[in-house]
Amino acid sequence: MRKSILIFLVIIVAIFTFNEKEIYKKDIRNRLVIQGIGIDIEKDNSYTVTLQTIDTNAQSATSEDGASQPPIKTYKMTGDTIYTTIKSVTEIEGKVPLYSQNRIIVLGKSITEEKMDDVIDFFVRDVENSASIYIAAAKDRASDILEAKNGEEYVSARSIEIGIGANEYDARIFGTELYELINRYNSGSKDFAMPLLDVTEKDGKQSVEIIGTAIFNNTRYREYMSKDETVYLNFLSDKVYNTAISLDRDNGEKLSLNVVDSKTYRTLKFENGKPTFKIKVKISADIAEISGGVSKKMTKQDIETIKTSAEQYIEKAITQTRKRLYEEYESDACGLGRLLYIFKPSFYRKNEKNIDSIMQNSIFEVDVDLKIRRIGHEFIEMV
Amino acid sequence: MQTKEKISAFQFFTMLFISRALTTVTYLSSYTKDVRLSDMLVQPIFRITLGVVIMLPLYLIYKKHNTIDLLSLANSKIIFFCYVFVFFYFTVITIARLDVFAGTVVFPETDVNLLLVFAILLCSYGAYLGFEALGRSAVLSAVLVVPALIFIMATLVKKVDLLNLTPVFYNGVTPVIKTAFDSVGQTVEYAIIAICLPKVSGNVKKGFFWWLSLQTLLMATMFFFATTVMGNFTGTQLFPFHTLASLAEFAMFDRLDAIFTSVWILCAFIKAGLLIYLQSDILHRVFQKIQRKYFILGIGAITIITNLLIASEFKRFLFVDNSIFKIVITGITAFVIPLGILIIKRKGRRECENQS
Repeated sequence: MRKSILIFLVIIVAIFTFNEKEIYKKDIRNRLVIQGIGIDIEKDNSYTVTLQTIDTNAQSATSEDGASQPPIKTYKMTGDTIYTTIKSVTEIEGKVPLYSQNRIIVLGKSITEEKMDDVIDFFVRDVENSASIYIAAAKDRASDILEAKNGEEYVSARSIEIGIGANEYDARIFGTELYELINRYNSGSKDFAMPLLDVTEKDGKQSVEIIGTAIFNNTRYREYMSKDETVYLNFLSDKVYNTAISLDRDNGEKLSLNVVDSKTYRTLKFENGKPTFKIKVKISADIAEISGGVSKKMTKQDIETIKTSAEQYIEKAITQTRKRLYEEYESDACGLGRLLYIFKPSFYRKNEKNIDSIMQNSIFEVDVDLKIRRIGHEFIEMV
Repeated sequence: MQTKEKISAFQFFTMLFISRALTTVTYLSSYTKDVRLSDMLVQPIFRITLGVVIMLPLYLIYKKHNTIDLLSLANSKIIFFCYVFVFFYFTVITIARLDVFAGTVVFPETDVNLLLVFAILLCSYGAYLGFEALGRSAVLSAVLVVPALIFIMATLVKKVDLLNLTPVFYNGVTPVIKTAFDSVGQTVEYAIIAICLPKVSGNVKKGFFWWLSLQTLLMATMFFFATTVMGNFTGTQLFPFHTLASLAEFAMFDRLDAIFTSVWILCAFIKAGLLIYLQSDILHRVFQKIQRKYFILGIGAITIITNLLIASEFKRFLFVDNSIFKIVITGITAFVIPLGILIIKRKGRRECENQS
């Protein structure tokens, strides 16, 4: 009995294994390891897809600083759909694309301004695309970003990904992962934000820079916010984990705070029939730097003064950013409008089509509560 | 049901917990297109109520007759085959879902028929080892599965955003109740309880309520994290809980979906193994001259053929994995048949009393 079971199993395994057609594809040497995908749309509605890949056959190069760099190759193809265009790389290179190692998706201006609907499906449907992959917008063409050269070598998609991923330590970057984008894309307002990339050139060497945050209204790119404004957009969105804030004090000194923890509480109530959004930001920060010399000793009063002035500064900055977002760009990229949907569904249902104007005319009350956790390694006057 | 093999109530309900956990983690978002995300957090309340109602006839039988050997009380081949069919159907669905998952998420570029055949052979072997072995394996699996799921959820806490919640009953209560029925329809474990209780020793009532509460808690927790972490992205994913696990990361470990996949396979082994065992046991009861292992071989072979047929086209999977059909067959085997037996026996007893 056991022998017959064993023979049966061997036959089954043999039948299926020798009929496996995909073995060729699985060898890593036959795969094109994609690190970055850039998409642009042309005037004739064809897609230009730029792939940044690791050349698995070449040896690692050594950069100027002696670090080992994986050899990068880029490909640019044009086609009718994103899938067939990416697939066509096999005709050029003879390798099968592997998306699972993809680091970033860059969308060109031609896409972000009017064609978001046409590109988003591929990245959700294709299972190899990770849900946590970063999405960014290019100030001009996505191909420029992935083909930027820092001297002889390409600026790697990996380094761009690390830059965007630094949003956990630097709120001047608004990191958006694929699942976050689709979440907002499928929401009522279809407003969202993502980092905006541009190529800068100095001494013949190019570099890719995050120049701010692209703001979208109803899936279309409107304008971008500077990196300094992005800090306060992140506060509004409850996405600040750790960041630095610099502010000017009334006495002319400059002060730097290292935010070590932050939580934004967003609540809604109706006052005189008008939605009133209460934004309470609780921040815990260390004093990182004060201009004006090292000999000055701090008192408890000094700390209280710094706290008050910093709270006022951050409150003002958040209010200004909120105004720009809702009044200039008509965008609910920080998601406050969802409070109406969650807590006043009947009101939301009734006014769903006018939600932009309702958000513009709503009352916003910002309150910042700052705790100075540490003052650094300088002496405090114990009085 | 023959009562040679017995397991404790703890082992039995742990086995059912693992079995139902598979249905939860393999949740397909297409089932709930009419309800908003937060409705899925309220749905378990309806579900738990339905679960208690569905088990009432069985409880009354136990109370009246002091036995829960449903098949002995029914003593009808039609009812025997009815249960065999339901268990076979759910075995096929379990393996078909594993096949869709493996073919879509784990090995999207590969023909997963080999995996499918191996999975069924392995489950058949589990069934061959018997009820006690499955019970022990289930407890061992629970020790691995429960901490793994808790670990995955714990790493997702920092990604929770309550603004991703939606208003409750935005489209009314009806779609939510319908979803609760869908969920109960997917719970073949009610029918398993109806059949297996003679094989279980210990406090069954307590075990049942623990099982019902814990599997509902698991479902509510999974939906809470899916809703608050992924928001509307949940509805775009074929297997949203797997996508949720892929977002979990801890220190340098960022592929926690691999843990989730192993949880899935472990649960599938227990569930399909138990269902194949039950089919073979009922058939052996009808045809006592044929040994149980031959039934297992036969059921395994038919399951392989059926699943290979389904695997070739996704449309076939959607046709077979029909939620209304599941509600009907689960309702018949877990509620209607026990209720019918209860009524007939009560009528018989009254007639006896009148005659005497």
